[in-house]
Amino acid sequence: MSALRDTLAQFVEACNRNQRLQQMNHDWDRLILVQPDDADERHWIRYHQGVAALMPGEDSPDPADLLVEGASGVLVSIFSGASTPTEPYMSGDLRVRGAQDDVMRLDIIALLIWGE
Amino acid sequence: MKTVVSVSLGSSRRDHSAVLSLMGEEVHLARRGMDGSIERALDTIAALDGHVDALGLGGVDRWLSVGPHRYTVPTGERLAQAATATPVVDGGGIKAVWEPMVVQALVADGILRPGQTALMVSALDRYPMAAALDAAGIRLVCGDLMFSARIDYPIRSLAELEELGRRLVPEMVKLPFEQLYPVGEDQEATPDPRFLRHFEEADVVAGDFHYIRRYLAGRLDGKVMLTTTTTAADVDRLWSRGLSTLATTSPQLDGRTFGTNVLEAALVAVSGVGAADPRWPDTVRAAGLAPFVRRRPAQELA
Repeated sequence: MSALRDTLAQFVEACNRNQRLQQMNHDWDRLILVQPDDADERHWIRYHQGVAALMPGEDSPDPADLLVEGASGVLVSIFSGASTPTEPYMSGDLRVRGAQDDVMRLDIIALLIWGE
Repeated sequence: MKTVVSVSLGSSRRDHSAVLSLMGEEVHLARRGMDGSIERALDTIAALDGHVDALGLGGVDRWLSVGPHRYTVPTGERLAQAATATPVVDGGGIKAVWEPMVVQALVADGILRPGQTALMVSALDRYPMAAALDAAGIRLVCGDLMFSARIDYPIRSLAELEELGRRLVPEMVKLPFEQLYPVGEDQEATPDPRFLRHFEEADVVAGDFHYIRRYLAGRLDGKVMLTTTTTAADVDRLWSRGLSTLATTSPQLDGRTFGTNVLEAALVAVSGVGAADPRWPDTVRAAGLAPFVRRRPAQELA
């Protein structure tokens, strides 16, 4: 398992342990594709009825609602909570494509999981 | 006569001017909407700097104060720094001192009552009002996540508001302001009904009128609204939806009520005392301000 996939697995687990996040996202059904620039990997996270799941495999039959791109190190840093997503997002080191509200929600999820 | 100008990121369609008598002095108030353009706002503030007695910032805060914590809002700070001679205020001084006094006055008058539920559309930018409502025994439902981020999660206590503030605000203030707050044409958008049930469940709707307007899609029968920055057309719309009582924290002039930044700029202009000055609370108390309270007109009663 790559460092990024390992980090995403922990991220998903942390999302599902957080009751407040489950409540916040009860109506948020989205498919998120995390794709590093510098490695041939694709990771899919499905959020459904407040529960997140890291999908097996590198392909999905459905298109992504949110595409998260950046260097592996940046992605690991953000999804592990080592750094916050806002500054890399504003500087362009992290690129998130999707509806503006979904981008902001992903930002909020990361901040609430790892917080302070 | 003193002159103050509110430079607002909001729609220029709401521009207006009026004369307010405050502490025995007349103040000419003008609002200039920038239609969401920060660059235009910077240029306007720089052009007015040194030519007016005080400037207000509308549609953006310089700081957000949540409990004991204060967070700088980079967009607001950048705009404030565009003036070097004229004081620039964002209404935070009015929100900190005057708005809690308005809540207390409305409780004393029986307009607000313990046990009611208040939907505060945005409490992170009006923490003192939220704290005053909470202290009065009014149940809080804070809509910051709903109305800023479209996340259907009502915040139901001051403690949770502070906790979320600590976790989210330092990062969220770095985002472009228009992602968090309706500016420019967004202020005129058709109301979004997705959080209607929270309006329906509330006895009191409080906070920033731009958020209220943007999400107010239903009836308001029997409810009290505590807000600011309403126009005559806004007020007519509220009566037609059945609102029982409208209380605004600023006086009504020519059918409009001004934003907190305008009121604070006027007070700074006539008193020379700013919100950071220890004399500020006494200055606000001595200013003879009064909330503007209107009951639903008889002809609107069904």
